[in-house]
Amino acid sequence: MPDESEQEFTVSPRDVTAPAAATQAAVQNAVAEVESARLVVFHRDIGQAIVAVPPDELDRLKTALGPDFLVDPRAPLRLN
Amino acid sequence: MAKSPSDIALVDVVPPAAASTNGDAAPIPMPTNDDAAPRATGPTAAAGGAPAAADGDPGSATAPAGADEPSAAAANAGNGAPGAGRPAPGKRPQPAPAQKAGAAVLAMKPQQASPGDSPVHEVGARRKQFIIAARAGANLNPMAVDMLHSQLDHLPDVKVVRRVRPSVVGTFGLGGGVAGDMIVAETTAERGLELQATAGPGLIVEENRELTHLALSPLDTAAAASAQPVTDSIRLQVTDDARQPLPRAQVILYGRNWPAQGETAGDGTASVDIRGGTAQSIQYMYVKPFANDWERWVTDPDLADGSINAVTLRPLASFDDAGFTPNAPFVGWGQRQMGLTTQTTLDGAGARIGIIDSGCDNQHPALTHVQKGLDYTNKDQNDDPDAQSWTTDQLGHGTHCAGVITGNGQNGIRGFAPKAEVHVLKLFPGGFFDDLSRGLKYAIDNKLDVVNCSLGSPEPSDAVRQWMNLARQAGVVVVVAAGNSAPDPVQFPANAPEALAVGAVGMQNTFPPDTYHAQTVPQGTVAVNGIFPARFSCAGPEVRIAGPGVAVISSVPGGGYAAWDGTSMAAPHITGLIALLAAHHPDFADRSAPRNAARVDRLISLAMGSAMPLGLDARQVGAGLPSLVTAMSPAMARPAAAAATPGASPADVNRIISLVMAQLAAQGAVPGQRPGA
Repeated sequence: MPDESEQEFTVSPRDVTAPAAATQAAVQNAVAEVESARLVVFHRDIGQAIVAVPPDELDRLKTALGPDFLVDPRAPLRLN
Repeated sequence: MAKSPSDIALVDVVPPAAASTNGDAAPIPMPTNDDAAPRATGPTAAAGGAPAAADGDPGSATAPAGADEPSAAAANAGNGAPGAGRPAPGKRPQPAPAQKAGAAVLAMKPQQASPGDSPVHEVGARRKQFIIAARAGANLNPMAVDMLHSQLDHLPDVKVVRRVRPSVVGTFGLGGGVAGDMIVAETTAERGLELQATAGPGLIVEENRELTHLALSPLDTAAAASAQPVTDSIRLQVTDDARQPLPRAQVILYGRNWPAQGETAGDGTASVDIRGGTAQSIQYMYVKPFANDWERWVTDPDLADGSINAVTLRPLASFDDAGFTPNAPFVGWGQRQMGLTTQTTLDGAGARIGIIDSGCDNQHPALTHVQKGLDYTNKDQNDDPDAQSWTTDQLGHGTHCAGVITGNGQNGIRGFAPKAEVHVLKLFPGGFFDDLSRGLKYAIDNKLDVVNCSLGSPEPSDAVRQWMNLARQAGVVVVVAAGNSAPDPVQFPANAPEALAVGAVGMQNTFPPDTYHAQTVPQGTVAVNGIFPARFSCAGPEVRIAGPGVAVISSVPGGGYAAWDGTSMAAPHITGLIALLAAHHPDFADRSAPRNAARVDRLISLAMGSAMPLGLDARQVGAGLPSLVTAMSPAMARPAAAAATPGASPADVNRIISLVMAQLAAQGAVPGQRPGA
């Protein structure tokens, strides 16, 4: 669970066929670069990471990841 | 105000006039299955959900909350039978002590369970006050009004509350009329309407409405409401028609502030705290049973303080037009409308279906053949989903969808594809976009033909879009509920081009009038063959097809059945149809054919091309309600054959007819009947 100062984001490669290991390494490097960010979980099956970061540090995280990654808020789904 | 014992007697409940299908109800939180609001599954009233579907489920954004978190009761009960907590056979609860004036009546009626010593008050529609006065200039004199007063005094069901006499100067100063002289009488809504209809041009008969000031009051805000002290506490007992208490029923009272909610205990009772207002300020009462009975919606409920307010629900089987028979094979109204019967030879064998939802109780007699699944809400330290716990469905939503899709029809619901291979992918409660992506990945890896997504979000996700696109490229049809938050636009992911977005329709006479189902009929909409677009269903150009989504009776955990509303219920009908086409349509007989986007497009084209032109707004219903019979007919030729024939295909013709009918309906040129008429 993110603490109150954090928000969770999904980080996915724009190329969904990219090897999961490569994505994981890129995300780990970005998280190491942004001290306030932390890797919550990495879904190996879809090559997607959940990263928690304070909203005002989001731009730094995006910069660290580079343009090859999508960063979306980790929004909840609702049943209809 | 508390009633004295002498006021209390069991009376027959009068269906509230305002709860009829006229659709003119004020905008209110809508109980749909969107957030699982008043869900038969037992989630506590949450915020955000049901009747707003609440959903929000109310589901919709307007729904009472509470949807995604199972109530403690539900959690404790697990998938226990809905009847849990009822008295053992032959041990009915003790009746309430006989009251003075009501004693004779009580003795004539079935004994009502009455916890403690509280008197019992059967909840019906509150009586209304009407003003009866002469219209200005009418040829009436005071004596005539006196006679009218006397006459009203003698009418059954009518009680004159007071006579308002104007000053003599004022009255006669108006030119000989008697304007200002009025009678205030109390009667039922129906009787009042009757008086209005027969009053003639010289008399005014109108409801005596409460005046409100227009200044904004901080007490009207949600924040203030939550901080407000409890101003009243309403005690209710919910029973079935045999007076047996019904545990785990959701009770929602809509008053001046946010809806107040409660859930019945084992003895069928619930105590609901009101913050702001009193019992008499409650505008709507919604009672949703866990299973096997019809819900109940009462406008202006006559709730009493200091009494047990008795609410009696009727069994699903009591309403013949719904077609439900307990412990016997049945096909829902929507499935019948789409051409499915219990005798069909089409069973979906060979098709593979994914249900991305809240799990599935495969102990339900109609769903014992469902054996594959994963639970993404329960992952191990390696982030792998559990392979067992998908069978626990705290919300009941997935079990309901599964019944429509694959119910075995042996002694209960006949779903579309009972012989299909069903994969349950549990994401709720608590599903996120990444869970949905994982579900889609699973569908691709396991070569599913179609996945049902009765879910949505107000936010888009490019990452999910990517996986939806991959699914399409891999031959997986992604069926998505449009959302229950009308008039908001179609939700994500239904609004993604890769989705087959499904709107919800209902059918007249498939539900009792005193249920919330009746409130889903939009005002002024023309229905064709009794079909109407559901009021809660999100509309937009993204809606490509419609499915039955009002009063859909299907399976719920514990072995029972419940009638629910929602685009969540509409989508499984389309998923089931797609599965049957994938399994049995000649276009897909070659199992070695490539699984690609063309296959997806052809399946969707068949479904849309088979749709009956409903003459309704295409933004609500897309191509309309599809027909299995039409989709399987020779007229729905293979694309190759159609391509070889110059001109439009049957699917094109159907689509054109649908659009033309919709245009005509918009211009009021299509004959039809008004829903609920």
